[in-house]
Amino acid sequence: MKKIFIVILVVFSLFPLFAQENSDSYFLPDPEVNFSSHLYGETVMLYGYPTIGGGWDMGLQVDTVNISLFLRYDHIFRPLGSSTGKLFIAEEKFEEGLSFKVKIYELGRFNVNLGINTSWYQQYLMLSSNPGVYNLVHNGVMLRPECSIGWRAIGWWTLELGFFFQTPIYPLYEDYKGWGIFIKVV
Amino acid sequence: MKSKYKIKRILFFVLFLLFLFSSCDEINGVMGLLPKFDSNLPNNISGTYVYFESEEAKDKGEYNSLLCFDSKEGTFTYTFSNEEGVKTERGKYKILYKTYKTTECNGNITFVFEDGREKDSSFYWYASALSGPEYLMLDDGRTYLYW
Repeated sequence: MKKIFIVILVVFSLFPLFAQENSDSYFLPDPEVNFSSHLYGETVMLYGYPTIGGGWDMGLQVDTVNISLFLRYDHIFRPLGSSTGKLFIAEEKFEEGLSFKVKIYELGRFNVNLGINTSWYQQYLMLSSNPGVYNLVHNGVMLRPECSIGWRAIGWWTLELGFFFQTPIYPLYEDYKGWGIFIKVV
Repeated sequence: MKSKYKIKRILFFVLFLLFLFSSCDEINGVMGLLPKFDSNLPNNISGTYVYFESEEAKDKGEYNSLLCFDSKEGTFTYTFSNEEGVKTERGKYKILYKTYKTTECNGNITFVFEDGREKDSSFYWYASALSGPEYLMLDDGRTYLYW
């Protein structure tokens, strides 16, 4: 008797599998996922003077969200803010990190993006007493929120101009805090 | 038409190979021009430092002792004057930093003289980004000015 009761219960519980669905999809459509890669140039105000640099990123564009890995480089014209070269004659900064950006507004060919990236930065300095050798001095975690405006020029090619604020968060290093602008051309 | 492009391609390839073989000799020269990257902290204590016994001696430029550090070779030269006259001692040195900033640092310096003697000394070094190294203080209580 118990067995018959269980069989009837299992058969009735299978009925929803054959229910007719309405015309709306049960699952949302798959988002558009594209590979993305960009090249950009930038300048940052460090020690009160502009630097020159650039970067390259590679990642995924998932609908309006872009997640990328990036490499960044900056050449500091005045090492530690000095042009005398009596202590250090060259300074370079390298970064490797992860970027997260969202398109928050779009109107015609223009769009506005907000993003944040985090990276590991390395400061390389060249002593005047040891030319030809860069030594690793400060290094740590950098945080960089940014905002940009993009202009879809031809086809899918978008020119982007943005500004950011970078700050080393661990360990703290005041000299590498600064505002900067970047331009993304490819 | 086709043979014309074929000849051009062959010629380009031959020129490329010639360039490649001739540049092999130059590769060492090119690599020598590229800077090297070192993950160690810079050896700030490099150069010549002198000790003046008094302000008058300093004004005259008459130093009592001279310490010269060669950071590339890791060697030092210590020239000093005593009752016997002027003596010069040489050897190698090693630095162990306790704290490091780009313009000041302190730690321990080990002098290994040519006769095998070893001498440890704590040090404090100070510099300015604009004017360069300024002075070095050792255990002997002396402040050696950058010269």
